[in-house]
Amino acid sequence: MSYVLAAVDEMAVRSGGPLNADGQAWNDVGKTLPVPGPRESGATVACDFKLATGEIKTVRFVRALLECGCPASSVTYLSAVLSQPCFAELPVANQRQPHAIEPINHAKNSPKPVGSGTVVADEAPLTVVVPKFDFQRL
Amino acid sequence: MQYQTDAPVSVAMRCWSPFLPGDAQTSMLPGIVFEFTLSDTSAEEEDGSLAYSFPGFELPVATEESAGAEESVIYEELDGTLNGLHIVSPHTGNS
Repeated sequence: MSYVLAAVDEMAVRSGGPLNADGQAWNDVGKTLPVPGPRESGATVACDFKLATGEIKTVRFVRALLECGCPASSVTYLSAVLSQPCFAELPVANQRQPHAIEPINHAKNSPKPVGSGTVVADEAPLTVVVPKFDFQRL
Repeated sequence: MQYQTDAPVSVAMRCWSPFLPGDAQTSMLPGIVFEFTLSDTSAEEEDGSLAYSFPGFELPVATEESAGAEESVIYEELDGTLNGLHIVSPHTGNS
């Protein structure tokens, strides 16, 4: 059994043992990561960032199991996969992320209860337009 | 997924697994990518850390016979496209 826990195409990456439910360990993530104990197999990777006003940064982490009988049982193969242009450029992600980071208006989107067991969505009624089709022309 | 936070940095995440139509080998890769988008929404420069922690797989209960076997878990540092850790254990079982 083995696995990879890594950041993709990041230069400054810190790594250490698992944080688990240790609040102090989470609190210290910015300074240090725990040393893995003798009975642990978990891990943590961390990237430090500095952003100017309005700046957007994308960080990718990958976790992959490397023992399941498939031919992908090597770090080299995983690196090659994630280096492919379709994964490196992520055109779909670049289109969707500006929307993803917009604040969500929950007050507008949430359904409002109007009575016991009755929920009405706060949206305009859906208008369905069915185009006329001339079957005689078939 | 958009995180709601009082922090001056907006955080969004999407995660995916490699899937390429016609490429079964890549598409069956047992891995997942967590892609975080950070945006400074404040009027000042902000710095911080983004961490990803995984509890690991379950190790067998230590017995007198297996004493010392836990030392066989190897933490190998990766440097390159993948920058992080490769954790190797000869144990098999639950993950």
